[in-house]
Amino acid sequence: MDWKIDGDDKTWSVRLRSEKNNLFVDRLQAEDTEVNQDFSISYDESRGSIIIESLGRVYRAEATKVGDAWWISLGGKTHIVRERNQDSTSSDMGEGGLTAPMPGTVREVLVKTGQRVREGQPMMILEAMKMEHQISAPEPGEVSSIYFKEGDRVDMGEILISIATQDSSKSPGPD
Amino acid sequence: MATPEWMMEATTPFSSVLVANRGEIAVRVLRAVRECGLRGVAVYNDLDSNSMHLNFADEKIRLPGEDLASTYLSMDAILDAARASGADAIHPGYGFLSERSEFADRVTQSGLVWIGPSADAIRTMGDKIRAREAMVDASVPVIPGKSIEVSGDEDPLPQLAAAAAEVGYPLLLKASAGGGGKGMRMVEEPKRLRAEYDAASREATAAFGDGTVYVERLLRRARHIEIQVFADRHRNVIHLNERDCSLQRRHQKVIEEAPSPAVDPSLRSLMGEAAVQAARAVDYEGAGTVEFLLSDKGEFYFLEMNTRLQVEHPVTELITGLDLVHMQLSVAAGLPLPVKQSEVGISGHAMEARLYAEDPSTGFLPSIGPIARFDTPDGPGIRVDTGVRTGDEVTTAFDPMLAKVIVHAPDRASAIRRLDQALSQIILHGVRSNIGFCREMLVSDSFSGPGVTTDHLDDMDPPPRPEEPLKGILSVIASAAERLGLHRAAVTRDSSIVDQHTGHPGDPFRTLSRNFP
Repeated sequence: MDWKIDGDDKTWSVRLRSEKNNLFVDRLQAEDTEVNQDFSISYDESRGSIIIESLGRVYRAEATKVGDAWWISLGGKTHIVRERNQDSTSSDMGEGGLTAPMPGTVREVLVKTGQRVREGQPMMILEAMKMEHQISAPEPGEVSSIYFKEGDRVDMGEILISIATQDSSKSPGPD
Repeated sequence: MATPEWMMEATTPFSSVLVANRGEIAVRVLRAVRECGLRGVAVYNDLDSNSMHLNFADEKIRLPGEDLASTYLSMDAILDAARASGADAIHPGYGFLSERSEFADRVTQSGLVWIGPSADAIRTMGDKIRAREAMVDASVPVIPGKSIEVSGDEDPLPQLAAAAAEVGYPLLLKASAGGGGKGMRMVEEPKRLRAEYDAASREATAAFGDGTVYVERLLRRARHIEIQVFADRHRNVIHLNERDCSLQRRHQKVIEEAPSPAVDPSLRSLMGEAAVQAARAVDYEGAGTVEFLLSDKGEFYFLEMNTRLQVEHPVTELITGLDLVHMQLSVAAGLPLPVKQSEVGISGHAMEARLYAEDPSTGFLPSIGPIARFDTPDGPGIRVDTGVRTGDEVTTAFDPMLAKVIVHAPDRASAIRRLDQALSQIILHGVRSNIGFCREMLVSDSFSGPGVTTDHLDDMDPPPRPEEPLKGILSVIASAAERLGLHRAAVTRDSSIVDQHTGHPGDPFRTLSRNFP
């Protein structure tokens, strides 16, 4: 199985094998590099925890699947590990689109189509949960489209504004 | 249900309390109502029909509708619910109608007992300008500031600029009817005045329907210290020491503690006395909080008085051994306070972290989604006040606060360690939270040392990303979870995994359906 961890660019591949009541790792790869490390895995049903033993250390983790992502609590922190989808496209940011971080209402549009913006320049003010959130330009460029006007309701993930950057043709696409 | 025995001597006894709220505070108050031998009535709207607080009530009344305005914020709907359930008292919790003087009036006029201060006290303290005048009259120190009356279409900027120049930069713009950080903006220099004013008045209008703005000098490196006060109908007013709420992010409190590391016994009695004066000035009754800013020179200034139970009341409960909700019920029945000022002590140190469904990596935007798993910490000295459990959903309809984790320990250093440990035990999947952020704050040098000022969080760096060796382990865990079939145990709001009677997510008798290898 192939995974991507939030906050990390690499693809991690794991192949497991089961023996009696335990699982073992046959192969672990970060991109093309194999990680030579032994893992033994068991499950603590009473607490809903996965127990991993590796290099003499014991890790206790809790994992819950939400959509196509595993939410994993490990060492007092929560991580999100997603199934790597082969035909996934790059993020909206790479294509110069800015998406609504959550559902809300457009309070104010601060730029016009065709306007040049500098990095960090405020472009739109979104109101959600009675708080204002500023949508700023992630990089310098030119506003190519504005998809909403003041007072419009937007859903989470909807593209609000597109920016054409100087080298948008070379923006990072799917690998 | 009959009036309980402890209330027999009371002048305004009651037997059945409607809690006009939801979430953790409704759970907290409904628990106390039952502990005091009273009947608890919960209310819920159509988005809340399976919410946790309903498990703690003897009767639940539906408020038809999904929006707040026609349900939790509707005085008519709440009063109808009280009538339908036969409740003879109303506890407002915090937020919603708790600081609406008109509601306090209407509850009383309907012949019900209002568990809170008089409508007059709420009115005076709810209007920042009148509150300030009342404090000046009562010789309670106030921060330099001026109020601006915004009249319709006239451009407010000239008079705003004049007031700002008089007060001095940097300054704070506050909507008179604002609160909780909404409708409040910091202005560093004159040229930012227009933009910040527009933002403040918009936020205030959206949240409270009042556009009046107050200009106030911003005290840098100041601490937010608040004094819990309690007053009865027999002219007894006491204070229950201070809480330090200096660790804030954008004026929202994140970590609160009692006692404050910046307050010594003599300052405590000075501030306590000022808070008692403030309460007396408005003939206060019940639980209230007087907020002060404490400058680095040891001067303190009145900020505002919150005429309700505070979110952070548990830290006061832990160090004083008092139950503030029990006391509210008793005072509302007309009984005298159970303790005198000389009997109020401080035992150890208490600290609270507010757990919010928000994502530090996106600038703390609220995070919505299913609460796929929520295991809360336990152990000696750990208290968790929450209103959600596994299977619930976080939506934009309600406040994003999920829970409060409160610890009690012998001293401040051990309270910090205990809270950090307690937070590390939380398992929360499905929505992002500020847990990691809180933990970093707790162990930061500036917090674990002398404590922080309210500017602290604006100075912090973003949290670090996962370390390299951990990533391999995480992908192994994800593969193993898949192989173990844990994804088939995914829960929803209607799942039977949550125990319907206790609402407890970690019910030991639950089993996960899964395939073992």
